[in-house]
Amino acid sequence: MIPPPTPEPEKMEILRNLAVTHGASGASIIDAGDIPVDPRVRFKCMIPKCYMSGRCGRCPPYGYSTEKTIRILNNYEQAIFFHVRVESAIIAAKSLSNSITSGQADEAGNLFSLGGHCMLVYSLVRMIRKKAMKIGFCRTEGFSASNCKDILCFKKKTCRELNGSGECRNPEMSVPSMESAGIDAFRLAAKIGWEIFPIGAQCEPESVKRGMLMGLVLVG
Amino acid sequence: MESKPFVIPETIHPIRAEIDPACLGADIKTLCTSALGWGAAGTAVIGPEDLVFDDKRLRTMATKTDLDSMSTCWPLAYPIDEIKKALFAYDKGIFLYIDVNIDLPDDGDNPEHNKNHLAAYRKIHEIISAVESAAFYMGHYLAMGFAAGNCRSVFCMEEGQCSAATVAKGCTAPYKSRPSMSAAGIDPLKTAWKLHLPQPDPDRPFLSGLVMVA
Repeated sequence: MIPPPTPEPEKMEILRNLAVTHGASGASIIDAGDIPVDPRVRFKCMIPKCYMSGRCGRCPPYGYSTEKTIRILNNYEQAIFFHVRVESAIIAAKSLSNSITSGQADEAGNLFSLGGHCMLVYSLVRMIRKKAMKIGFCRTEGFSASNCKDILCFKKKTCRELNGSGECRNPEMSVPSMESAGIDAFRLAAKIGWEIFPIGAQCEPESVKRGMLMGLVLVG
Repeated sequence: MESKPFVIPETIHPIRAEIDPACLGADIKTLCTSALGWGAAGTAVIGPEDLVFDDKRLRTMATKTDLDSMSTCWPLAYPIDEIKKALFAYDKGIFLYIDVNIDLPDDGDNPEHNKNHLAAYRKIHEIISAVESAAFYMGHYLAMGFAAGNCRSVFCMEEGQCSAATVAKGCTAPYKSRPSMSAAGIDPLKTAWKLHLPQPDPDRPFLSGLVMVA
């Protein structure tokens, strides 16, 4: 197989800058070969079951298998990996876990605030991919954070890809999350030196400094 | 739970890029002690090579490709993911069991109405959940727990069918229900024998669980 060409550094820098100037708290140019793919990551969406597992066409047990993700990564040389910071008062708010699983907004507005941060990640992925094509890259692949059903189709009862015509309502914006595709985003972030904390339902805002949502765009 | 419930640490440390084996060993030891405090009767440190698989069951799971019929019993057949491969990616784990002084007839997929039976299954689920959470907040974010019994009979007694088995619907007990070891293709009794645990007696109910940690 012919190896994918190495992208020009100047063009990669344009994409990295784009992420930072449009809302990313940090962005790095990384080698696609350094992106860890692990079967355990996809299983963590299913054991214990995430509230969205089986409800979104991009989430396990649907979506990309780890083998498919590896095949995709092999077609690329480099990627833009970015993060959007979320204050611990929002992402580790006491009521947030219940709000997320029930879909009911909390009084403090943390559900919609977190949704806004997720939307920013989706928008940045879309923006970087469009810009990449504009400056001469011929293909891109994007990965976001969180499930797309709650972010892009919050008001819809079901994912149309699973229950309906079979076609996604937002094919331009919707991309799989890194975790749903088996990409170990936590490890990748830690390897780069970003400070990332395990945040779960029992967390309190005082327990962690901050949270972060991450996005990834492969270009080639 | 018999003892105090799981409490997250006051300070949560950032995730490390690589886990130091000595650190993992110390954390596993802490988790074993915690599990005993939460009501486990015994624990053992386990490596993936100690797990005894029921290959016949795994073959059945591997050939199940119909997503619509995924969840008549945990776990769902994972049509594009291989559970054995994932389990072998772990370095270590904790195998634990609880004391069960009652008969536990196999009710299959049916709801569990006997309060004593239900309490036993709930207890193993709660301990596994607590150990897995504790491991997560220690930075072992890929920790994965397996309990015993059919989770539908424990968490969804009133439901006519498993919601997660319906296309486009999710689990009614997200983050609480765990697949049993048996449903993941692991033979708990043979695994316990391999670990030389004192408890296993083939004529008595044996409720055990597993948390793999990386």
